[in-house]
Amino acid sequence: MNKKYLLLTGIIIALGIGMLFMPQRDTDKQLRPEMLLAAIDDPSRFLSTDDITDRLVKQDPALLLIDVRSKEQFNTFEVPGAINIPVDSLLSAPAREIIGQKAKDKVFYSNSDVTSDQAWILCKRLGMERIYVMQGGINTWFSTIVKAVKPVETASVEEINLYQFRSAACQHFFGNSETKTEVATSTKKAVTVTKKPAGASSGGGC
Amino acid sequence: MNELSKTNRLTIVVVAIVLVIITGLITFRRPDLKFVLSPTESLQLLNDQSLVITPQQAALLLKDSDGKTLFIDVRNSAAFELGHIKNAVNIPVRELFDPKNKSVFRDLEKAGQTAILYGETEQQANGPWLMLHQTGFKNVLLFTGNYAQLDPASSDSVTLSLPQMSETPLIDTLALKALTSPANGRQAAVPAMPVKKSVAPVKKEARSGGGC
Repeated sequence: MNKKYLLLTGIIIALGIGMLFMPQRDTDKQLRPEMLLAAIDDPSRFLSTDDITDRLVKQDPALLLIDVRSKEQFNTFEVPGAINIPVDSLLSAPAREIIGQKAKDKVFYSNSDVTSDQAWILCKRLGMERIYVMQGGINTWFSTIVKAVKPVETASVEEINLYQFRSAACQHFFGNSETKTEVATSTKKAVTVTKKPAGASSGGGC
Repeated sequence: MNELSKTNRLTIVVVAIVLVIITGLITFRRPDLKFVLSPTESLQLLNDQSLVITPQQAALLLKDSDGKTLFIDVRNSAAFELGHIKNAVNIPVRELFDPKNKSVFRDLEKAGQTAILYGETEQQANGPWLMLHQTGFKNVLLFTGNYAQLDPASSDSVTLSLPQMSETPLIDTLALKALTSPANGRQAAVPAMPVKKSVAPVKKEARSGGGC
């Protein structure tokens, strides 16, 4: 009888020791590949340039634009109020802290929406929430907002309204941007990520 | 008698525990699909130019295939039915990890062949490409262009006249110049000043115009 008790104890101890040597899994927080693929197939992560501009003009404090292009490209031109996290430093500790903020909608953008989407996929894999991608990236933002094309006389009311919104937004950003974009960016804390002061532009029109 | 029943009960418990453990071990399956690359390793994929294929390279491959590449169309089956490039295999994004599709990639790997993923846009093929590399499929290239650049319906001259990649910055430097004043600190940092100066007349016009 004692033997059976010993056997039971032996089994339990063996299992316990076995568990000790199980490889540690740090993947538990990560999304499983199947789940990540389903997320990739879901287009709801894409925000249009007009939506983002609307939120920028309204100075939505929950919006955080993240420019994943290189520092040089960021310095040449950026969407007003964006911070720069080059994609190479996407997974550095300070960048993760910024992207991990739960209270903000983080929107990635690059020249197109490929690099920004890659950044999105990697962050999504790490289980980060409220992250989005700007559809078409800065190329589309520039061609629709900054160089908004005036619709023809016969265009529908929606089109004319859209054009007026876009040109007003452009005026807002670049007309006398000094004060306004300053407000829009001041809520953001840039820890180590390079942030450029809002561009002063006395140049007038767009 | 009492002693006997006690022994029996103990035997039953031991047998039960052993059975549970054995069933557990038998039914335990390692997940078929798991991340092989860490996030940091995956990040390095993005800079690896040997993992992408440009429209020019693809156009050459389409003209005379070397038999070592297979084009994979990640658009949905309706779009695939409407038109696709010759010999392409349709694997829509959401079906990427279906068993038969995974075996397509495994077979390619065994045969030493390479898969080229293309979608309606580069962005569409980008997700599956990154997923495949992260889960350990190495012989997969990303086509850095749109389907229209491969489309057999459009003529060769058209495909070759669109060498542009998706991530090329398209920002109009003239319009950008009109936005920022010449006295701005930004421009001091830009080395290509003489080039910009040569376009001054356009800039002046744009500025005098005022509006957008």
